[in-house]
Amino acid sequence: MRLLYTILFLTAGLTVALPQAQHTTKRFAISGFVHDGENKTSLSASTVSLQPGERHVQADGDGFFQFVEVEAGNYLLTVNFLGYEEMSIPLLLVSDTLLHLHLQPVPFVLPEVAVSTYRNHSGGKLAALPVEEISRDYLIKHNATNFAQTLASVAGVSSMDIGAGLSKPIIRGFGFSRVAVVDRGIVQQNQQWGADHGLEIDQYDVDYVVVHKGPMSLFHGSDAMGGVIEILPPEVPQNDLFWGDATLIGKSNNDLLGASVVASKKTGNLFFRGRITAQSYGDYRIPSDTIEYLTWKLPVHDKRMKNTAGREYNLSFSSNYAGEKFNSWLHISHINTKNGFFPGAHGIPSPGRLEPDGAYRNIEFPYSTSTHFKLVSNSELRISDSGKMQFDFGYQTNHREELSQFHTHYSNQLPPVNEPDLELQFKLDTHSANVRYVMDEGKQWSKVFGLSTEYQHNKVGGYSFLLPGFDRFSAGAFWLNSYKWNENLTLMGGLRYETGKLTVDGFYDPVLEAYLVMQGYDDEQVDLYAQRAADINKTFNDISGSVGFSFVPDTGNSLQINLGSSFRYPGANELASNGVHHGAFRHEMGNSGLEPEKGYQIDLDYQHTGKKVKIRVSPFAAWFSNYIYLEPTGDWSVLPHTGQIYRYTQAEAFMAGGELKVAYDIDGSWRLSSDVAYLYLTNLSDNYPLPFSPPTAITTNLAYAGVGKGVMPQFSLEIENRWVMAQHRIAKNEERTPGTNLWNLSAQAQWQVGGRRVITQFRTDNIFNRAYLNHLSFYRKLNAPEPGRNIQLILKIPF
Amino acid sequence: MKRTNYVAAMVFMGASVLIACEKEHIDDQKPVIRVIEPAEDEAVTPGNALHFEVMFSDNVALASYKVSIHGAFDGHTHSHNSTTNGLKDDGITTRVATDSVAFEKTWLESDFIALGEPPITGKKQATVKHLHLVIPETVNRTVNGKAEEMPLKEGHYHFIVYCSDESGQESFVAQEIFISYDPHEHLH
Repeated sequence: MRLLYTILFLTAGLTVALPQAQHTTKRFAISGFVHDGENKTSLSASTVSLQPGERHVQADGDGFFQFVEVEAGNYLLTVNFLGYEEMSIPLLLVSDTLLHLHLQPVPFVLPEVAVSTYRNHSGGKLAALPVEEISRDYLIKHNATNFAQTLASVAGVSSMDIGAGLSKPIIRGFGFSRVAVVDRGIVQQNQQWGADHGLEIDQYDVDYVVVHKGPMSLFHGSDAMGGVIEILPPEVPQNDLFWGDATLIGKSNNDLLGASVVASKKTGNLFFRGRITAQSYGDYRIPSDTIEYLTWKLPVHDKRMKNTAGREYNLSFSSNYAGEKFNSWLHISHINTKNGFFPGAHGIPSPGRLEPDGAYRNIEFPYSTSTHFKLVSNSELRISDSGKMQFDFGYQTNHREELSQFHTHYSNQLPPVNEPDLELQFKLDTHSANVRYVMDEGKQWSKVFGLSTEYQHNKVGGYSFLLPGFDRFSAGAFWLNSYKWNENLTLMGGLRYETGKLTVDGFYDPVLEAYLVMQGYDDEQVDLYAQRAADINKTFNDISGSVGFSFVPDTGNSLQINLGSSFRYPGANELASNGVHHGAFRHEMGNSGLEPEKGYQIDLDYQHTGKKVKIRVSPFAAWFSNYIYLEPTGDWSVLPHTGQIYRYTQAEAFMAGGELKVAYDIDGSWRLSSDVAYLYLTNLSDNYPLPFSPPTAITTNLAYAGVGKGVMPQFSLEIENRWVMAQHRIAKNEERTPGTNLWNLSAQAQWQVGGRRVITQFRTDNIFNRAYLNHLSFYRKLNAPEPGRNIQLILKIPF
Repeated sequence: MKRTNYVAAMVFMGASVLIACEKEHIDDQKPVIRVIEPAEDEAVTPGNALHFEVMFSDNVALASYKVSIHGAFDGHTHSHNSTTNGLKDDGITTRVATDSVAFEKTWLESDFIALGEPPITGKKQATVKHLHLVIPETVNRTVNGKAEEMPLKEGHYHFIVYCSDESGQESFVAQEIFISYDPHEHLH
């Protein structure tokens, strides 16, 4: 560690000592007119801000504004005018741009709002990787049951669902601990820990998301191999203000009812925001009254998946202090969920367990409860004109339980005295700290030096055993650079050194030992099974890095190419666990000999922005020297409800694919867009595909956006076709999944009601109530179709 | 601009060609199991043997098989059956685990080979028959270091046959059998 510091400071010294080269970068101008959306008069003195860069200007007497000398890149332009709805538009600047912005009036008088954002945009401009920026508006339009499902509408992102309630995000086929969700600088814990753990984020509390596709280990260390979902803090207005809104949500498929209320206050240097969200839903409906599983036809009474009801309660609070030299955020969130499991997915289903229980909103055994508490602090201290320090501190705790009426295969196992139905318990505490020194931001050669550490402590409980308790400590140091070669070309690159230590608490199962002895197995066999987790004490090291460039030859084209390496430490389950995974009905065995997973990936991202046509193509190819996966060993497990023993193994793997997006502006109102996401994932040791390969999907959208008069000043309509191909490329013992073709419809309108701008968002998914299977679903192995038609209405009322 | 377009197209096409040229002759077919005996819901009395006959087949080559019998009592009940924790279930007072104990046994292929059955490994098709799986009247167990011999718990049991092929593909067939001294009182 000391050596590391020395190297870091030496490098820092060197870079400071180097003379700053001349600015030769070509810059562009963004100019435009701000108009009233209803009578087209110009709005002089409206405030226009550009992020990042924190530049603000006021429009002149003609409503004209201009930013000059703006570097090419992605920006968020925000316009505010007293008495009008704030307008924010993301834009990719590749040429001099002239905009005509039409603001919609708000009849009641609002104080003038101006935005000054502090966003901890870690690495966005430092990697030449494809990113998708997603605004609040997009999230509302594509609102699904949970945040991960909502994100699945983005090309290249899919969700792995456990019924209608819980999901985890998959980026280009990478999921679990190969994807990191970074919430305000801190890697979120939960979804990576088990097949049926969801991503616990209140989707209504997310304002702005950036999806990074590609290796991001350089920025976030282990686990960010396949990509990062980065949640950024809310925007803060410049003027003192109190505002908020209430959002009401209703969905027909699972009779979901939800409400989310937010209130924000800005006073002087301080900003506060609090949000409360509650959702409750019943058993979801499928367009089928039977499920064919193994040789049985299982009834689905009333076409509703029994016991898949759930509920969630979320609380969050954010505060910000913005001074001249010091800016600090504090975020606190608490997520509490309870989700029923389809009884057929736990144990071998039998018709008796699927008999209706008389209610659809009740949550009976088996179910899971989960609580996630998180405290995050982000601060930034400006030290000099060219340097600033950034600090992120995070504490989070997961407490997840699975409850199922006590059951055992071991006749000598008696139910516990306390909490006899607590099957599994998972308690994880995570402490994170990151420090970054950002130097010469916006100059020809900008650098970031950083250190990050994370400590985790895991405890387990319950009458079953799955994941062992463990302690994990990791620390990393990184150095990121962005160098403007000339006006068209920017080079980016960086290095990261990371070290980690994992201690796993071994567990020898005396009940299983006694059971196996009784069954007549010899000592060697008994030990093989009864050692449910081995004692492990391992240290890992890794050096990863990336180089890339961003080339903007002219106003309509941009090209980025990135070559990066990524890594991931094997998890406690992969190294040590041994036993039947009750969800997968498989005997899974850890392998203490696993090395950190290592991948090398090339990414290309080309964008063409014409007058009417936009094209974006982002292919990638990756090679993993030792991809970790579960390989059937050919040896039968002697434990009940299992076939072969599956052992964690490492093999060379190859992944390739990408996304292609085309958008065509038919006229000012109509827009047609289409995207294709394709993936090819293969295990090079035996040529079998890798497990959980998302099938190819083509999404086509026809949208109409209109400006109305009177009570409905703005509206939009969208019809979407989602064509998912069959997945025939399956890993050993996976099931082929047929394709499907789904139609969705959405309509958004803004209403002028009683002096308020009320937004309604109407959406119908799976209009034709088609029965289809999702290759990535937790219930896939049951042949259970995905939810049928869903009609939903979201109502947002500002106050 | 033209050049960048060209470069992008080349890279994308290159990737597609790479993908198209896969050398893929992998066995993605699972073995097929046909259980001839026991029949679904077949009843058997403790102390007697269950007759077992099964046909295995695979497109390439079979590897081995396993048979498992265990109680279908987990977390759910068929009205008259007991749960092991002595709690009330569906309003019926259930027997506690001190009354009787679920029978549980796994037979590996090696157990049958020891009885003279030929191995199925390497074959495309194999029939295993004339096997007798004995259902005992009592179950031995050790609880807290104390050995006891308990009567076998009557009721529904899962009867599962697993089969694997040489490439590691596996399939299984699960059915229920009914173990009872009074098989006529066979309720669902």
